[in-house]
Amino acid sequence: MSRAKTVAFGWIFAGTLAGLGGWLVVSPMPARAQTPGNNAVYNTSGIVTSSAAFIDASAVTQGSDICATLFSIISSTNYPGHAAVIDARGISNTTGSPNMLTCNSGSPWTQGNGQRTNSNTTTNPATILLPAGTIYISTSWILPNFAQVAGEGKAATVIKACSTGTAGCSANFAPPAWDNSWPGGPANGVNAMVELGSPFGTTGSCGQTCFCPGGLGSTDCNSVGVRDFTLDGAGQNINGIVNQVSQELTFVDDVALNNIEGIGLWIGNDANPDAVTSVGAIEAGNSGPYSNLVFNAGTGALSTTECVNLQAGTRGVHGMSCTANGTPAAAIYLDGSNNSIEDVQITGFQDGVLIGSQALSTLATNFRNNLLLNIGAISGVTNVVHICGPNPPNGSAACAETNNPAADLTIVGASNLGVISASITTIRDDETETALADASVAMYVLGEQTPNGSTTQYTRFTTSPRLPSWATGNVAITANSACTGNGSLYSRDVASTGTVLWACVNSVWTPIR
Amino acid sequence: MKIPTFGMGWVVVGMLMLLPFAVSPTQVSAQCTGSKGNNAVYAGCGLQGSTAFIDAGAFSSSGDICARIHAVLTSGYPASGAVIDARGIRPPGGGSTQLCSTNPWAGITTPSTVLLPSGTIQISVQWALPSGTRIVGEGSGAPGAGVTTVQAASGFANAAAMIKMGTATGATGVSVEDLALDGNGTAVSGISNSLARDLSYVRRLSLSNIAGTGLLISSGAQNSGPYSDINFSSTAASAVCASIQGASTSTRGIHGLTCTGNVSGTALPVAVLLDAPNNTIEDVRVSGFTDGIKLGQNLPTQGDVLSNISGGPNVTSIIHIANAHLVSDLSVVGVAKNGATNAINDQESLPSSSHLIADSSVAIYVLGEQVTAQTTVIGFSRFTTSKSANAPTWATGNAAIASGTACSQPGSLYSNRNGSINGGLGHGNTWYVCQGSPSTWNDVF
Repeated sequence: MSRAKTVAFGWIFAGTLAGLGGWLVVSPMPARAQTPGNNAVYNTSGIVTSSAAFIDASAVTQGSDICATLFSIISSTNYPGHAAVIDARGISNTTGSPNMLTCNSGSPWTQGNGQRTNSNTTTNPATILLPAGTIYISTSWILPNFAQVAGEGKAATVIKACSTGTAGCSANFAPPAWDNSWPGGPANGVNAMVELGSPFGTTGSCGQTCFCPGGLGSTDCNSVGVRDFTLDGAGQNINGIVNQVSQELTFVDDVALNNIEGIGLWIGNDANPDAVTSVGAIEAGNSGPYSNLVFNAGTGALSTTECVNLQAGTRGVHGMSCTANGTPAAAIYLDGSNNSIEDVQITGFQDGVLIGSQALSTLATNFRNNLLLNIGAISGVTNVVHICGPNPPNGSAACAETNNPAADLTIVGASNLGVISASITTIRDDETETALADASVAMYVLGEQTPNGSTTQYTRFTTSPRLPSWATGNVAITANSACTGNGSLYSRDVASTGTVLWACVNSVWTPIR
Repeated sequence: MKIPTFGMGWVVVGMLMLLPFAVSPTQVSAQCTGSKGNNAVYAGCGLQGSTAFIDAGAFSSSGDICARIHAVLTSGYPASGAVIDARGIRPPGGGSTQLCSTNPWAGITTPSTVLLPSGTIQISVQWALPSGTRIVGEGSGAPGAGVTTVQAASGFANAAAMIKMGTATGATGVSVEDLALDGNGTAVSGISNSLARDLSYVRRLSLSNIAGTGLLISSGAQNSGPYSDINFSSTAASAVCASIQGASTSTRGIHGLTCTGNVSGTALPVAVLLDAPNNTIEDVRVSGFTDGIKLGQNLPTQGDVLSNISGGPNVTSIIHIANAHLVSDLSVVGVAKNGATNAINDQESLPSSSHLIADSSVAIYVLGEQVTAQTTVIGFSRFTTSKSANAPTWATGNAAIASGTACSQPGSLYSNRNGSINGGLGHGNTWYVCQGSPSTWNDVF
């Protein structure tokens, strides 16, 4: 009996050990405490354990909506101090259409739409991967310092402004009032669906709720970026992406801006100090590039609808198409210095690129050295490039602002894509009283106003034969032949006796030497 | 007593052996769910499936890699699209090459982002990418040595192109990045785009062993691009590095391109054919092609911009402006021969006897438009900084030129910053023109 008990207990013990061993071998349970949202990976012992390489937002306790869930992660006391990648691609609507998410609670960094507090705002940086589908937002997404948001592509991920009547939306999109009152912002208010940093802080100090370090407009943000999604304004007079304060390594890439009746992309120079707090100028200088963008205003575009409003010196806008219904005054407002704008196609704006039209007092003496390269208008455009100034050509009305002289502006490749029409001007220069209706212009370089000259005397070179230019050829010109472009020169590039240089004088080629 | 006791022990052993399966966290709670292809992440209930991406290797084990990707796209696939991670699909027999006998996107219209594995995927048919499709490899590597390589099988069924961007007119958001295309010496092109427009692009792509055109962009692809960071290498006599064709094919340009043809033997004809208006081509290196960038061979073109274009060995002309069709309003900024014979061959605006610009480098060569006297075309508006004898330029200095001093560019101008008027036309030392045969500097003012 005693031996039998011993044997039995021995087998029980052995079985227990075997079972425990087997459990340890095959169990996917972590070797250490698991945190919801961690990825499951094998460790060096072949045991499944948790990895904090990223946080899967679909595996944590879900909030009232995707923004509440993301805010809960980012604002958690357990959130890594130096930011994290938050993979929200697995979040879907479990009660309605799986591809329609709402964001009524606020944004991933703010909850509610009232005054910010330390409990309803976080400025922890994060890289958020958004899911495919449509995310309806009720207020602005303001990204803090170092934050980035990426979608699954503009065809897959759509961030759409809430409209009254839309399922899941309780009202039209509305920006937070505390952010919308910033005096240096766009004329229609900040009104941004997405804002790259924010200059706003509570009076004196914003503490933890500063979106940029230092707060209250004293310091810029860096490395704020968005890419690979569509912003859909749902036909409202709101703005797409606004950058007032984010500078180095801040970017926008592969983004479509649809149905936005305000401004698609606003890049600011806060020229107007905050009258309330006496904060000096901050701006979005050195930000960019802003690349591979599409703006389509939809059918309800207003005269004030804009594709881009660029007031700072940046790394440029590279690759963009701007489409509207013909009503908006201009597609791209350029009122900053040291920018390159290239590979742009424009449809349905009265002016394609409008330069120097805004009354920005502190910019007036600093507005120069911009490069426009490969700018084309497809249809519905009156002036492909329009330079404002005090001397509009042909009795045209001057811009509202004429005191921001453009200087050292280089245009390489401007075109109306072959549509030659008296009503289409490829380059209108109100500084020099010039209107070029060429189908395309290879080069138009406006230098600087000549000293002691009249207001229309500039150093300038263009290849357009309708202005003073320089042509070469191997033909000797017959006497009294007509020419265009009074003041032009013609060089005969042949080593022979006879005239080699002619000038176009009073519309006739006149030998000089 | 012994037997029952012994038996109970085995029962306990057996029960304990089953314990791990009974309490496995995958089943520990009814709240945890998952579907095939889901990633496993920790949740409050234990391990849970996440739809952040769909692992194509775990989703289906039937067929080759393309069949398995197609299976994901056609079985419960989200209507708004998803990320499909196919990086875990390895060749079934080991090694690094796996076969693909079908187009993964056949019949598909929903968007997708597909991550491709490293190694070689040998395709028998064209990949036609519908609107909203993005394919991303693990790296382009170098031509012939890609990290992720898509290779044409020897019996490739479609000679048009290995990858076609767009399946219907007006497609958008189609992109290819971080992979290599290997034509395997067949008469095939690399990527063709005649359908995809806004937000359709190519990034970090290497192209090798292609006997057709590496990158073929044609009518219908307006507003597409940019096509950036592309490395092409082929010695096939019919190979073309890139081609943009079409009267309205205005794109966001080619930015960063290396074209290597037959460097030591007979050079290939043309690296880049540009027969479309309003395109930017910049940061290009060409070697082993007779012509680097040739404009106006098939269609008239205007408003193009070429920037930072350099040659290499076995290149005759880095830029060739043909006169088969009118080329106008062309801006060239920064050309360097680097071993090429000529920087620019301008058959459009320069006479046939002197159409070559052979400077080591040229800062600016801007060809404007035809200029007339009455109705006769006498030349082109043009400005260049070249010192070539074949193209007049405008020089400036701070010294007068002695009478009878020889010059090499008839028609060129010279401005003396310190000049003065000594009696009017023909008697000054401020402005000179290169004139006569032999040519000398003659004062104008």
